[in-house]
Amino acid sequence: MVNSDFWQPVIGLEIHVQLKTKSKLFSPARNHFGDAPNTNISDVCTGQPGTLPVLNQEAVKKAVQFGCAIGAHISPLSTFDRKSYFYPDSPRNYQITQFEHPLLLGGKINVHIDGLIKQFTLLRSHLEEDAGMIKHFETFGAIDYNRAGVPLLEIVSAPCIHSAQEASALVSAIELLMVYLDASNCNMEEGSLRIDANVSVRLGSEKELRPQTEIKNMNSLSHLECAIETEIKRQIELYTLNPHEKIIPATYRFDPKSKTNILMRLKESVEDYRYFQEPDLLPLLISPDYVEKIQKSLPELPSERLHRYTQILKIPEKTASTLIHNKPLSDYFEKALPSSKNPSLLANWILVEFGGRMQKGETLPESGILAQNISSLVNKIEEKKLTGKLAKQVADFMVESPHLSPDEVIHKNPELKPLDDLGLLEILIDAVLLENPTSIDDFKSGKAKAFIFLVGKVMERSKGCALPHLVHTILLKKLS
Amino acid sequence: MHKLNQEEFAALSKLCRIKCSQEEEKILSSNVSKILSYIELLKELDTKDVPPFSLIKEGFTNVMREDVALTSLSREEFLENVPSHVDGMVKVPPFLNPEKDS
Amino acid sequence: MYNLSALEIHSLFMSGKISAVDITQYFLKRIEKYDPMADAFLSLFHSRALEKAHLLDRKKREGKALGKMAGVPIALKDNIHIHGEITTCASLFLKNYKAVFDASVTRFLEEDDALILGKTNLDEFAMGSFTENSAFKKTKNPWDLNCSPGGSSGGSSAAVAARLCPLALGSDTGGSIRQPAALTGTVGFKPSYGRVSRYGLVAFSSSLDQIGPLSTNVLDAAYLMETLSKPCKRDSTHFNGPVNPYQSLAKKEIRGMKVGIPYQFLDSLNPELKKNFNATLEVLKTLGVTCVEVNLDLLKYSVAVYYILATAEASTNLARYDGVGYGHRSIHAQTLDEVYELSKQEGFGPEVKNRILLGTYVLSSGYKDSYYKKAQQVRTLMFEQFKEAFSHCDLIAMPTSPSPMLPLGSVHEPLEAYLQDIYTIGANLTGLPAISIPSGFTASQKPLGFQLVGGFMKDSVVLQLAYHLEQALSLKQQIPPLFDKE
Repeated sequence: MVNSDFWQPVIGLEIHVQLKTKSKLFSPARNHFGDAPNTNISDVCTGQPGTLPVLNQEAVKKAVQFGCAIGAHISPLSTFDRKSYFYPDSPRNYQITQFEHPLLLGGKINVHIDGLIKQFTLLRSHLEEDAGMIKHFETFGAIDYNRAGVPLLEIVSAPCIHSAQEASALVSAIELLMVYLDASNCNMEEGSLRIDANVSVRLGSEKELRPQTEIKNMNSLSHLECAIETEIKRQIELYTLNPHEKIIPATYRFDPKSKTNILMRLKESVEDYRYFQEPDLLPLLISPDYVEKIQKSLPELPSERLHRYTQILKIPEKTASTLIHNKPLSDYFEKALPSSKNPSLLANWILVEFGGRMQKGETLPESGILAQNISSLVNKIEEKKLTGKLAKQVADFMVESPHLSPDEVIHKNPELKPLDDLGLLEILIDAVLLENPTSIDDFKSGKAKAFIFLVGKVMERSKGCALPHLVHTILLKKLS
Repeated sequence: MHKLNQEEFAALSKLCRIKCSQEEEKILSSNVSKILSYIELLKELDTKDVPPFSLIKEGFTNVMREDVALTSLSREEFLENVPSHVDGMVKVPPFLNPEKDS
Repeated sequence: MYNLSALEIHSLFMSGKISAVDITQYFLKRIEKYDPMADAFLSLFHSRALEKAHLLDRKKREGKALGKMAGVPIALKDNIHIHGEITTCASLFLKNYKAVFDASVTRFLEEDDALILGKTNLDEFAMGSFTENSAFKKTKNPWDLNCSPGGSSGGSSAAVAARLCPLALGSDTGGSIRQPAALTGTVGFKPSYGRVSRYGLVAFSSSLDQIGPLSTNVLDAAYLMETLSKPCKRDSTHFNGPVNPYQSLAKKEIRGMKVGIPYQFLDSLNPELKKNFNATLEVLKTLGVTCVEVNLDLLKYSVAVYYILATAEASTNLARYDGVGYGHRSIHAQTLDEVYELSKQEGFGPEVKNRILLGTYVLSSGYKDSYYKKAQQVRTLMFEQFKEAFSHCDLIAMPTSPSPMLPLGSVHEPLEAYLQDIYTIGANLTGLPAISIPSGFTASQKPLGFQLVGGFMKDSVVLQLAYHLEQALSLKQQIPPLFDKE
């Protein structure tokens, strides 16, 4: 029997994030996904003889922004190194990376997991260039250098992650941070965020790490979770069945079809990358002034926004968190916010009512509906000028005709106009009272339910247009 | 004298993909060995705590580029030098290294 | 016209006494006539050069502004790119490689209206001291066709010595401009590291390579430097300082200057060369220059340091020649590994393979600290020692080469060849500017060179003393007899 409670998984991640720049890390070739092969290339990123790299300042800026956001130490002097290996996606057969002195050291990321906050520690983050893409055919391989030289930030976590769920939550938090910094698109389908996971397990009482295996190049959170879970299970089973055996350090890849990890190579044949400092680039010097400037100009970070939503705007944590994880929608909410009288209700309407009314593939910020119009609709509910039922119908019309404000919708559709004429309401209420004498008796004998019943009847007769608080007041007056 | 043995030479040759005939290997191996022996000369120098050479002290600073995208090499011109290509891509014999291509 | 300096040709053109087309045709014809003897050139650009010449003549007629090198013919070492032309690096690997951009220096020359005539021979990827490692031909020394013109810029030195063109570009990684200049009786200048853009120079050793001029006299070298040292944003290691008026700086008064001589380091110099060196120092003294002894004992490690650093960098710089994206791909290659291995095997000559293997070795795990790191540290010590020396003097004087020109094919051992660079390598390791100027001949009429090394970025001081010394030596009109005719 495998007792998995007894075993503690230990996971470290290496996350490769493509930075959002116009041009590549060391050349002016366009940094853009999805174009015809070898159209976004330059002499530098195709490794032509006689070419020299020149560092893109925007990539440095985005990396430093990330560093500031996670409280990393920004190295005043970092260096670039050549990492030598032969592979056709690497046009010079060496990659320019930061091995010995990375740009960012340390840093922490807080992640909400199951209502608790867990803090993860990062070891280092460094700039490096991406490789080209290879297409494999039966009789040949074909290389496209469009991706070669795209700036990457490689983020290396400490082995401080203890479950697949935590790993996925950390990646998600980094992804969100990158999006808020506008530092990366983090489009996993396009490969702009790729993860390697180092996995080992140990008995709860052990201090040392047991040998680890590496699962490489995953570009989806579900793959990441599945791959890690599978590997944890395999390791625990092996140790349980053969307590004296050891996991053999090896590199795996996750196969989404079979949902298994496939062995690629054993780690004993470790490659000799012959790192040495890139002589074509001088060390990268970062001044304290520069860091201060970046620090001051950081946008609101997801954690800060969450704090503001929950603590100041009093939005329930779950709603706030959902909103924050969708940055465009959260930004949309921000536009509606200044005129809102009830931010929490507004958040709910944006997420649930309007969100739910979007067609597949359509998003609210792109729907054409002005954020202020949603705020104004929600304010009407808050101010009891519109019933929820009517408001929902107004919302239907707004989705259908995005250019219309709630007032315009109501004006064009008189049936949506709320019944707030006291005279008409009295007539309506009188009629209901006439039809339900027993309820009046019940109310007078102290049955509270009778009152609710009568209100319901009034609302029914008004086709939902009567404003409930007015109905209450008049009915109460009449009954007493 | 620092002599490269056959195994060392084979490992070295694999690292840099310089393969050669047995004849050539003998000469190259002996050349490399002789030079390695010569550079042993450096061992007599004490370099403890000496920093590696850098021009930073001499007033050089890192130069950075503005993030501007330009088309600097057209596909046509690039492909002119490519020994074999297909559909705008560089063509090589089939291979699969699962390490990189998942 | 062959015996005129670049500056003289330029002024003839500017004064309208000769057209650019005439200059171009004259030198192209001269090359066609004499290069079969010297084998200095790998390619000639008849139509490109004539087209440029016609353009210059038209600009001249129309009174339009002309560049400062207008009308001056020049040859480029064939490891410097000209957009659309083949850059072979004297390697079979790049036999058909068409450059996809202009080197920055090529652009500067074009902007300043120089006439680029052709590309000159070199040791494969600039690795060698005799130009015998070229895959295509062996260049001869114009002073003795049985001898080597030195290397690796031997094509450029032979071309200038034979007056096939008044100026040529070379590249200097361990002495590859200065040593061939010394061996052919020409002037060769290696600027401070970072003074001239390396963009478009096919890299051998990135932290040592510098492009520089070969010329018949110092003033022409200064003249060319004004064009070469323009700012360039494509080379991160470029100093990007202001362009200095090297010609006028060269002419400044030198009286009172101090020259340091590392006598101890020169102990083993052969007597005939030592005599020439000392005689040259005597001439210096007549110019009001004082000589002081300086200690540069660390230079004895320079060849060892150099062959670690240069090969380490080269092993990565040359990794890109793999038969995938450009250059030679073996027709026998069936697998990807064979594309790499057979293409390199067929495309590279033995010396290149030698250095790649050595460079790979010194960087490999377990050896990196004892070789590569150590060498970088010694380099720091050397720089400090030069700095200390420069606190006692303005310039340092040394011979350029430990021997005069040698018969072709006479040096077989790589190590023996490497030791040819013992006096020149120090300037590369420390990034310092250095020049070789002719200092006379051996008894058997072999040209000799005298080297001056300056402080970092003190290029103009080097040119200044070299210019005055050259004037005092009056050797500049020495032309190899075989080529001293129309």
